[in-house]
Order: sequence, then C-alpha cells, then structure tokens
Amino acid sequence: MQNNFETFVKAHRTEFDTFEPSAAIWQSIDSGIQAPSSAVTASKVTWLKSFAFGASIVTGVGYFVLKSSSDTEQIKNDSPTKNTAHSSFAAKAEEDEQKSPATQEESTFSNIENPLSMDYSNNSPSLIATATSNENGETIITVEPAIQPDSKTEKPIDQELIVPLAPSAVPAKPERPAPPIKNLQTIGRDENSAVATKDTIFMGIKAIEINSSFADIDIQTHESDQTSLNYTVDESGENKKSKRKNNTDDKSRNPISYVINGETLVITISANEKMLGKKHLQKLVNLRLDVPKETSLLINNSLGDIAIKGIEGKATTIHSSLGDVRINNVSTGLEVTLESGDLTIKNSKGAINSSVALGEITIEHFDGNINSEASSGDLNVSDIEGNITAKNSLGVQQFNQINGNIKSNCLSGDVNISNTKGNTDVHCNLGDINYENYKGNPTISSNAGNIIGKNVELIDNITISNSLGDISFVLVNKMDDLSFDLETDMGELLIEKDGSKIEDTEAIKIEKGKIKVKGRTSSGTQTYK
Amino acid sequence: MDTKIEQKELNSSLVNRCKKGDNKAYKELYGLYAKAMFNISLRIVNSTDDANDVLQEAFIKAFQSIQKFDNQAAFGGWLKRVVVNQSIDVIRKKKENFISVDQVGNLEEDEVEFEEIVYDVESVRESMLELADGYRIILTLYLFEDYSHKDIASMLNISEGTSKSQYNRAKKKIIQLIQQKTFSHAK
Repeated sequence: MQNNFETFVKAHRTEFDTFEPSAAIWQSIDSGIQAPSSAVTASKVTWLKSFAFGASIVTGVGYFVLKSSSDTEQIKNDSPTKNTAHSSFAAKAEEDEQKSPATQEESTFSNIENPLSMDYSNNSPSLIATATSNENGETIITVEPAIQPDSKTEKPIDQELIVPLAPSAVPAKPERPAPPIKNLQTIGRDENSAVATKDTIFMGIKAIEINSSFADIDIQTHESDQTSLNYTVDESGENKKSKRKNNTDDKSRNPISYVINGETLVITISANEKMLGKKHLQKLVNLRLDVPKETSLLINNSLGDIAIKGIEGKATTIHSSLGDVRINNVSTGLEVTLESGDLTIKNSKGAINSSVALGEITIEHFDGNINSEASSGDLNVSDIEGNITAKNSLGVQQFNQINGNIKSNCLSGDVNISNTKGNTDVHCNLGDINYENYKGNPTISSNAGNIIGKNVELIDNITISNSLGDISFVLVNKMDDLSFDLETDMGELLIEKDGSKIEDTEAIKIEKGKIKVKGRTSSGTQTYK
Repeated sequence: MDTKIEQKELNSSLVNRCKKGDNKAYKELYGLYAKAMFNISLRIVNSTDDANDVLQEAFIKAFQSIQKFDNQAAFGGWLKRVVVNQSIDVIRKKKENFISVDQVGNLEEDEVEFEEIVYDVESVRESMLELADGYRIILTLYLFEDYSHKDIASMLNISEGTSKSQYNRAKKKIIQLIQQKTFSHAK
C-alpha cells in the first residue's frame, strides 16, 4: 500500500528527470558506433539475387536457342493491354483498361509452366522497339507502333541487345506482383551484355518506372521527345584505399538493367553481387535521366536522394526508404512515401499526397490540394492555393500564406497558421496553436497547450475548446458583430473590446452580433480583445 | 494508449532503420532516450561525470548490439536495463557504502508522522543524494523505475526479501531526511 511519499513520487515522476547529459556525449557515441553497412541488408537479398541471376541465364540461354531458329530480327512487343501487367506503373496508369480474367491470369508469373516454351513468332506486335547507334556511339532505343510490318524498323539490331529478362531481372519485391514472362519481349541486358552505356537514348517513352536499391536519381526535362539515360557509379569501402568513381562502360560493374514494356521504360538498379560479398563496401549509382515533360514516373528507391524537375506527366509516384526527395517546377499528381528523409516540393502545381515517417516536409509555392502525413518531423507549407489536410504525430506544423481550407491534426507539436484566408479545423493534442493575420472560420481544439490568435478576422461562427491551457484572441471584428458563449471550469474569462470589459470566472453569454464565439476551457483563461 | 502505440511504432521504425545502417536513426534514438536514461543513471551513481560515462557506454553497447535486437518496440525497456546495469557496475567498482541489511539500525523508533509532511520535488531529490548507495539504488529501481523486488534482487544479487526490507528502510530514511529539512526550514 502506498503512503504519501510514494504517492507523491509517482504523481511527480517526470519532474525528477530535469538534468541534461553532456552535449559532447552524442559525439563520442557517434564516433564509437560502427553503423552497419549495406552489407547486412545486402546479404539478405544475395540468395534471391543469385537465384534471379541463375534464372536469367537459364531463360536467356533458352531464348537464344529459340532465337537461332527464328528469322525475326525485330523486337516485338505484345499488345499494350497484356504488357501493362509487366510493370506495376503501367498497370496503374492504364487501370481504366478492361482486362478479362483470362488475361489477368496469364499475366502472373505463377501460371507460366515453362518459360523456355515461349512462342515469339506468333505475337501480333503493336509496338516495335529497335536499337541503333548514332555517329557519337550512343545507343538509341526506339519504340514505335507496328503499323507497317515491312517498315524500316525491321532492320537488324545487335543480337546481344535482344536478351529477354527473366522475371527475376525485374526487381524481386515480394509486395509487388511478379512480372510475367509469357510473351515478354523486351530490350534489356543480362550480366554479360553491353547495354546501358554511358549515354543511352530511348525514343517513344511515355512513362518510366525505376526500381532501385542504391541510387541518387536526378530527373530533368528537355524539349526533345527523347529519353536519355546517363549514370556513374561511386564505390567506397574499407577494402579500398580511397573512394573512386567507375567508368560506366565497365561491364562487370554495371548495375543497371532495363526493360521496355510498351511505352514504359522500366529501369532496375541493384548492387553488384561481387560487391556484396565484401564487408563495408558501399556503392551508389548516380542516375541522370533527361525526359520529355509529359513523362509519368514511378520511382521505388531504397537508398539515395531523388530530384525531379519540370515534369508534367499524369502522375509521379515515389517510394523511398532513405534519402531526401526534392521536387521543383512540376505539374503532376504527386504521391510520395518516405520512410526517412526530407521532402521538399517547390514552384509546382497539381496535387500532393505525401507520407513521411521521419523527416521534414516543405512545400512552397504550390497550386493544388495537399494531403500530408508525418510520423515525426515538421511540416512547413507556404504560399499555397488549395486545400490542405495535414496530420503529424510529432512535429511542428507551419502554414503561411494559404488561400484555402486547412484541416490539421497534430498529436504533439505546435500548429502555426499565418497570413491565411480560409476555413480551418485544427486539433492539437499537445502543443500550442497560433493564428496570426488570419481570416476565416476556424474550429480549434486542444488537449494541452495555449491557443493564441492575433489579428484574426472571423467570417462565421468559431468554436474553440481547450482542456489544459489558455485561449487568447485579438479579433479584428467589431464587438457589435460578435456574440459570446464562454465557459470555464477553472480559470478566468475576459472580454475587453471596443471600450467594454466583461469578466467572469465561470461563464459569459452575450447575444449581440451574427458571429458567435464559443469558447470552452477545463483549466485555462480565455481572453478576447 | 494511442500515444503508447505510436511510441512503439516510432521505436520500431527507428530500430529498423538503425539496423539498416541509417546514422540519422541512431541520433534520433539517442535524442529520444538520452535525457531519461541520464537521469536514471544519475539517481543511481549520484555523480554527473559517472552518469555521463554510463550513458555513453550504454548507448554504444546498445547500438553495437542492435542487430541482435528483435523486439524493436521494447527498445526503451532494454536500454533502461543496460543503463541500470552499467550504473550498478559503477557503484560496485567504487565499493562505496553499498549498504547491507546489518548496517541498518532500527528505524522503527524514529518513525515520523508521514501525514504531516508536505513533499516537494527538490527536497526529495536533495534527500536522495544523502542516502547511502544501497538505499538510493533500491529506492530508485523500485519507486522510480518500477522494477519488481524480484528483478531488483536479480540485478543486485541479493534476495527478494532483502530488497523489500532495504526498500522499506530506505523509504523511512528518506522521509526522516525530508522531515528534518522541512523542520529546519520551518525554524
């Protein structure tokens, strides 16, 4: 049974933890820990990749057997409807297209009994991809509709480039549907091929899907209808004396493979198996794509920063585990999921649906609606023409220059709204809510924290409730335009406006103007001026 | 309840990221727990320098072992145990005033009127500093850190009964000290 002493300690337990450790401790710890390198993660996928590589070889050999007995020299893609399942992006982009159950069944890898029995000669191609080299030695991949079977696109291409990728050559992510193999005809590469050279150019690409393990990805737009791919590889590790940058023409170190699926270019960036066997070896691909503005994007990146500029495609979807994402000057539907990293979107329009587990979100100069969720990290939003829905578990929400409605939910952290016109619905569990230079119809509630408004102009009724904390508002509205319905369980109530002063410790009710101010506090003072 | 779940999810996410080698996550985890762990250690070792050392060693130890850690959501509890053990080790190495049952006099006759005392955090904290190490450790572990007498017995390699009796005596002792302070202030 507890006595008073025990009861007191339990009730004030958190007040005893007031001392701070030395600021130098973290630096000592930081230098003392050896952060586990990518080798740990890599080791988990090595067997999968080995299997995938083996499957690639088996499938590739089988294909060449078939290929040698065929006169076909052009690359034929199956109908776009079937090919949509090859890429999750394509499937999403063309979700309006009807698929028969039979077609869908065909498109699953599990239904392919024998990949080596693929019939390449009986396909009815709707798209043809060809590879040529220009005078600069650049590889040019062209995708065109197959209207004329005997057109110039039938010219022979380097057989080494016509290596069908095994299903496992496309990223083997369990959460995503396994790509089909039946009727798959692509341009791509295996470990022994010589594609994805320093400058590879694709024609006729409308969408790009990137599945990457370790890459900084930089995507920019240009006026051309070409899609150009360029990259470098950075390697560093304790078994190397210094960091070095590889020549991308070094085939054995080339970590990029790609598949053209209809009008979608699917790029896979993965670590080299040889590299994974060595401890503490880190490898990062710097991928640069210059694409037509209208290109749609789907990017899955495990590690690395992503920068996108100028895109105006239908949709841009990004999933990143670790790394910052910077988006500038785009006009698209944006969907961004970040596990760890900062998200910055500037000078853009469209719509944003973002989710960041740990990191800051900054959105500036944006036209369109925003839906943002963050587990831990601040949200900074400014100069927005559109409605905003924001949810934070831990972090400050900052809204400035918003012309639209705001719906905000913050578990722990302040919510600041300034220079804003529009209705707001703000709930904060723990933290202050601040309004400044605001015009609109707010609904505000807080469990613990102060609610403060400066230079606030109400256009309709306002409801404010606070369990533990004060409410203080300086209103632009005239006293004659306002009515008050204020109550507090413990605290004071004060209206001091336009020469009149009304005080009470329990309740104030004034029926006067059209706009009704309803304030409730359990423990806290309410002041309206 | 929601806060606890979200804290667990946050822990789980941070630990997972640490396992993947995310240096940011290490710092986040440190920021989340450093202050609380430092105060736990400080109550036990009663020295700022020692508590800093304990904190540093405990975090390095925890981070180096994080790959083996499976129950991510319970990281805080695990880290606390590391801190407590490290802190007890510090006291053991110093071998200062690790009070035994035999050393404790009969406090029954000195029993005070508990109900008359108005407690405040500062006086409790000051009085704790004056307790012998053994008393302070048991009082800290049981009352502040919610360990059971069974756990405390295991940590200190004493019997459960000893833990209970030491705790009761520590409690009486600290109340005496607080009362003395209150009385002297009143004078």
